[in-house]
Amino acid sequence: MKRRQFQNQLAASLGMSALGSGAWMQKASGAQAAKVLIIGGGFGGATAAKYLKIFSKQHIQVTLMESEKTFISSPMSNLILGASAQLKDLEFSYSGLKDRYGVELVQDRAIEIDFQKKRVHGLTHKNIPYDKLILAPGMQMIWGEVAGLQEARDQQLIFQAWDGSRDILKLQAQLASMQNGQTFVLSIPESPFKCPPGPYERASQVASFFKKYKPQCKVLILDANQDVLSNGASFKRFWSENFASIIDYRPQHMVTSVDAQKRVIGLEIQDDLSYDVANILPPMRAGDIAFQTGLTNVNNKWCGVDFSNFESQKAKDVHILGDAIQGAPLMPKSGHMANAQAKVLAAALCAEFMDLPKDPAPFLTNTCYSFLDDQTALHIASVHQYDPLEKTYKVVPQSSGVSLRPSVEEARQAKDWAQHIWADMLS
Amino acid sequence: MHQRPTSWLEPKKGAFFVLALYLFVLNAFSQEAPKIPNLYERAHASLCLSCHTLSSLSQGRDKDAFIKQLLALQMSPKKDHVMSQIARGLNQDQIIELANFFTRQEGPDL
Repeated sequence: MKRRQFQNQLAASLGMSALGSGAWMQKASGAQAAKVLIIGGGFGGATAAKYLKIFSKQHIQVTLMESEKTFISSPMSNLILGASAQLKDLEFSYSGLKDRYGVELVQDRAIEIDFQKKRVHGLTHKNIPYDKLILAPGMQMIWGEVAGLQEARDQQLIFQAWDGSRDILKLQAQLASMQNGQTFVLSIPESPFKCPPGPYERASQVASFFKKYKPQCKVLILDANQDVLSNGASFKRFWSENFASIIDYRPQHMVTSVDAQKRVIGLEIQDDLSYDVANILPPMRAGDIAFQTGLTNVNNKWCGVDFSNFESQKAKDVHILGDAIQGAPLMPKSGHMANAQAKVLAAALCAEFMDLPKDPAPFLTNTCYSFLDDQTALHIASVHQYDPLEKTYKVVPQSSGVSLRPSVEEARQAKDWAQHIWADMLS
Repeated sequence: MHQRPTSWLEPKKGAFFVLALYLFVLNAFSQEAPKIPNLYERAHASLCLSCHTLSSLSQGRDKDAFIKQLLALQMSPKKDHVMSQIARGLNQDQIIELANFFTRQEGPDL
């Protein structure tokens, strides 16, 4: 064989190998497997990481970038305030994603995205490449919407404890230090915000704690909304039957300022109020990395996406899920919803890498449980079907529903749900 | 002028031969793109795993029983039962798809 012939054969063989390696590699930037980088290790990001590996049969290289070393669940964390759960019950390692599924873990905070070069920069890790980027940054409080709140937070006088952090222990300590007869104020921002039933569950848990240990204490709920946003009838009935002397619910009360030194809250319309311990939840928007990179194109707060594959309306090959997106009608910002979106997105990306047609009928399921005290809970559930004509998700008629009454059985189901979904995302 | 006979067994060219053979074999094994069968069936079924384990949904059931159970949940008079509400959100095709996945004889494979 002449040298020229051999070289031709070698080149042909190399070419065939490249083709034979499949579309996974054609989509990638070189001879390596397609790279998906995920920013944010919450319900959406962690689930996406695991299911990209599972659905692709390990053919995608997945990196999960998360600033925290461990995952702390926001769902169920209100039980800590009711003294029926501990933080250790809600804290989990990410190691299962690495050890069982081969997800690469990068502990760092993403601070910059180069959409042209497809690179992400963290505080310590620079130039992390991607073929597809998934943003699951959760939500961020807008401190400036309540005057004085940032200062109160900086001075460690007011804690939100709304994002699955150890702040829940600081809020618990504040409650524990209250004198019998003092007032706890919980303020709720206008919808949308993360976990619609969450504030009402929190009020119930604090009331349950007071009823047991400080029966003269009060829970004052200042709600910027017209009414209780989720399971309203059940919550209010339970409060009147069990916490009538403790919970004072005031709708259409929007908090606009706080003086944490004097312990005074300012309201948009009503007179100022004094408090002893406050848990002020300001309005929220998408997490910082989405906001700072210009992806929050809806009201400058939330990220608009193409619901067929959750691709950003602002940046190609960037997909966003969870609390950060502008949801479809009646789509809640919940952990379960982020978990479901992540699976739909993982399948969509696998299909795209394989040049398969899009899923003609993706759907999402959601369940949110709320504990009323340490014994009983209720739920809200729904199924959301993608409508390809209107390019959005719609709640399937008859599927959406709530509990008629809180029950011990639903509390058991809620605890089962938590164990299953934590395992589903991390184990 | 005397010329040495060419042989593929010569060390230099032998190395090329081995390399070519390796690439040929590699190519033969990698002709097909990685298979990801039933992608959407698996994705749809995975939604159930937010609340259930794979084994609890698959063990000891046949397809008909699986379908009947979901239909019974759809028709349940307990309108506020969480699984009845979820089941009512599934259409016939989705129920059959889930039944096919979870009751496959060789066991469900995500």
